Amino acid sequence: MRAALTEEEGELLKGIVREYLELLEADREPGDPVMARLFPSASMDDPTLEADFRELADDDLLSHKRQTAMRVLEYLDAGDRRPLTEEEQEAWLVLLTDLRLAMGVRLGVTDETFDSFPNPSDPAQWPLAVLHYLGSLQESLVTALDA
Amino acid sequence: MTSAAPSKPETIDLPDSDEVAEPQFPWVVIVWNDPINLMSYVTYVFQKLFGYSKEKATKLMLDVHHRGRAVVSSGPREKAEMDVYRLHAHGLWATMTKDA
Repeated sequence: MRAALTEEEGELLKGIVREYLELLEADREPGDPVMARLFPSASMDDPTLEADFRELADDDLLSHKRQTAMRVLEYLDAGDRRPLTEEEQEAWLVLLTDLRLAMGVRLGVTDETFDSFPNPSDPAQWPLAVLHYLGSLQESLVTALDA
Repeated sequence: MTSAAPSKPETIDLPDSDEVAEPQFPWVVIVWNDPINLMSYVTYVFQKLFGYSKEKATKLMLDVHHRGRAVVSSGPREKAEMDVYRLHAHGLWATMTKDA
């Protein structure tokens, strides 16, 4: 699959990915809903299991997310438009998910949010428009990988 | 929560064999609905991680979407932990629990 991104799209994505990397590096605010969604609980009913899982998984999950983001940033920074390898496509897919989760939680997305498209002439709705855009990017990537 | 149309008295609902948990696999992995992830992406993840057919993966995704949650795998504890981790690594929210 060829990532047919325009210059503007490339710059937009680079900015978002860099912000996301900063988010991963930042000190965790207890109760931060974005981090809670990026590192979700593994058990609803067993606090010991949950604590064990956090101890086993969090470092790996963090470095996995960081590496994935850096992989995509490398491609974007290189500025060329060569076709993505399958490994890169997978990385893009996972990264787009994380970006959408982080943005979606921040924006307080609900089931109804995607029923309508945001008004592009309303600056307050631009973050939502970006979320939609990332979704359409992800959709085309899934379609390409499915083929 | 609304219920489906009541079944006619002359029909018998047989359990879907896919839904019957193996007695020797005490742990189940549940995926929870969220308003952000794309349905196509969730389906893709189920195919990729568990080797399910597109049909089965789609059915599970729709269960998550309409019912709020679905059991996606079962097995011994270590396998369940690994499945939960892999699902988290793909941005899905999964938890594990001992099957009742």
